[in-house]
Amino acid sequence: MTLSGWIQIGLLFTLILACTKPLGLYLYTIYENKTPSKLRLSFEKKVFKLCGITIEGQTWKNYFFSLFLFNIMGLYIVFIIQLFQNYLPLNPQNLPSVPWDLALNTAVSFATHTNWQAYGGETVISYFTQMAGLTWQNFSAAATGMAAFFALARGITRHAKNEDDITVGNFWVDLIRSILYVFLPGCFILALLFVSQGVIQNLSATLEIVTLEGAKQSLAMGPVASQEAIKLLGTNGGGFFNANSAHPFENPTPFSNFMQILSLVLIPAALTYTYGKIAKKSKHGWSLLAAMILMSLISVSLIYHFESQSSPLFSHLPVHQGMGNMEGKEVRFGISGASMFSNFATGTSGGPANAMYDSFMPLGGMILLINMLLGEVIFGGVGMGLFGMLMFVIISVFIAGLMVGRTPEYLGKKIEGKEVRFAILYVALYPLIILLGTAWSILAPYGLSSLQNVGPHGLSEILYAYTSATQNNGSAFAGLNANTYWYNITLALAMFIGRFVPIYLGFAIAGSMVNKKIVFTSSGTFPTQGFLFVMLLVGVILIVGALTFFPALALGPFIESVDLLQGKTF
Amino acid sequence: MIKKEIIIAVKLSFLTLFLTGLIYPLLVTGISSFLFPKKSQGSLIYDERQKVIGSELIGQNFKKPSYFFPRPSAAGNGYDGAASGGSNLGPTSKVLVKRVEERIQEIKKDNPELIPIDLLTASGSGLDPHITPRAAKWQAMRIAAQRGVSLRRILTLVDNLTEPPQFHIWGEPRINVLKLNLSLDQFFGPPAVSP
Repeated sequence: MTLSGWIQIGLLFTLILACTKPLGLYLYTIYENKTPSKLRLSFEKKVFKLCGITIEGQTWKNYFFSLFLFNIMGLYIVFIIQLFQNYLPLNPQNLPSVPWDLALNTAVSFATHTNWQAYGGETVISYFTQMAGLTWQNFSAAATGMAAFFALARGITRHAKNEDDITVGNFWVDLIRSILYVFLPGCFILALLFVSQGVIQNLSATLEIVTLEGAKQSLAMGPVASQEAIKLLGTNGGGFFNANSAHPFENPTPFSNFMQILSLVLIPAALTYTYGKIAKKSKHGWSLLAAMILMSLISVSLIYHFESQSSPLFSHLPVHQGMGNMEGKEVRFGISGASMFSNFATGTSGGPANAMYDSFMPLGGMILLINMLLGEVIFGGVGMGLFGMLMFVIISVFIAGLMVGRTPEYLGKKIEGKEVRFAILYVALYPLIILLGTAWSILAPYGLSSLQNVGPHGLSEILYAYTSATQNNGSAFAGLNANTYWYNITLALAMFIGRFVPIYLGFAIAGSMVNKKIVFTSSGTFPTQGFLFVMLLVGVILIVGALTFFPALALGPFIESVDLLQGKTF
Repeated sequence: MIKKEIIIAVKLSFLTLFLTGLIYPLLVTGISSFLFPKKSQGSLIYDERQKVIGSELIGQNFKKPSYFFPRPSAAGNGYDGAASGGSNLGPTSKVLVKRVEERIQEIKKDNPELIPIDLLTASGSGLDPHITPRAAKWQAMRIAAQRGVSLRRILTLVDNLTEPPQFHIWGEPRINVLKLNLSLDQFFGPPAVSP
């Protein structure tokens, strides 16, 4: 670990803090401002009219129906585009049609905001599919996440003047606003910034060249920067190339690396401020951000520490290991650049990679797993991160209520059996799918045959795959060959359930809270801000995550770590 | 109501596909080829006959002892720019240890210094264009002997081509292997053709 590394980490957190309020305010005016400017209003009206949208509130069920419908439609179109990409334009490499199981997995993966990639970008997917299929779905899925969050936030915080009003906003309006005012302008600027650093953006065919030494080399090309921008700003994470952000054409300089990390976190962090504003309790918003930053700081420090270790397996060799674990890492980023990136790639539900996580030290890789297993709430995805965090807030408030023996309240509304039941279902759903999928795969020959690494690391590979899919993260221990019928189909299922069932459960809470009577806060009300609240919230998140997955982590990364110290190999 | 929603979903799907999947990437392509004509095309390096000999950003698989070696690569058969990727070998992998041992055999020869770890490990992309200054200096003796020039001149070249952290804040000090080898040829002439 170096001073320069810590300075970079410190700078990153400082910038996150500095951007939270201005960006949070901007998001508030986009989604919640009742009197938008005339220019914006007239522009929006044209779009709404074109699509036949009437601006009226939807109940949580109708909101969910629209959301689901739009995403299924996207899934279907991307599936079709892949099957017929050999007939479509912008395919200079004449890539063939994508096999159906891989196409299905990819379509589900991008529609569910996961961006799990069982394919290698440059060898399987045409430029048209990358742009009109995957880049488009990156925008849609990110915008869907934003919409889902605002629907939940409105349901929880609404002080209804009219008790019959049980609407939580309009999905189509939220979706269009997310794309038009947040992601498109942001990505446009970011894409040009990336090109200025060396990220490529062209439609040329793969370049065949002769190197300085006289050998042949192929250089894959493509419209990379435009996809790169939404991949990060929308916390999607699906790279253009197989090596994702480790590829020098996707992430050429240490500065582009830093900007990529920052753009992953910007919106999820800013939403905490937006939420505080919606709830008219800005301290509550800051407290949620504090909980996220606290957990993130701990995990980034641990990753940095573990990855700076030298491997005991090389200690008898004439090797200078001062840098740390460089297998799978790029020299220009160093250990600190890879640690920061991997921490935010797994803490947010983005899941891009500027290093190969499979080659991380046992405990370094475990922190990445834990970042996801905790429910993608350490910043989390755009919208969905705070969405998940609010489920944990409801559980925390409920537990605090149990401790003092009072009916718990949250933002002036009573939290009753119904809400707690949905919140518990929400957090219990993930372990169920993750552990079931992992257990089945390690018992079946078709599950084990995909492993590249054996021994305890093999278990980690499979556990990582189901965790990443179910939590809609998309990063991988990529040694696992996931392009088989078994993994393509079961992981697609895990992604699908892990995306839409939790949104449904969260919306059910929104629907049940939207027209609840306001109770006045008294001295018995548990404060949802300040040190005590942050600690309780972090405690609840850690206990739920740690207790559920401790056995699996003990069998995977922990044992592997002990094996490594003893010099055992597999 | 359901029918109306389906119509909206179809219309909006095609509208957003058109806007974010076609207009946006094509607009970025157009503007960036105007603003950054070199970088948007891959920061290519040309020789005096205007033939592309590589990209500043993509490493090449130098094997001749008169050139600086890059890091090992897991991309295709080594530095395949159309098949990026890492080894994905776990920390307790037998294959990893064996590969590192073989690589040491291959490059150590009679160099008494400890080999820097980046020369023994594959990068994440398999296309890493850089090595650390330590890894370049470790090879300087061999290059000097192969090219018949003084060690001091090679070390000066290494120092001159070492890039500091970007804006003195971000990343690590590093050397671009292709640029380094290009300057070797430029200053000391191309390597003798092996018999």
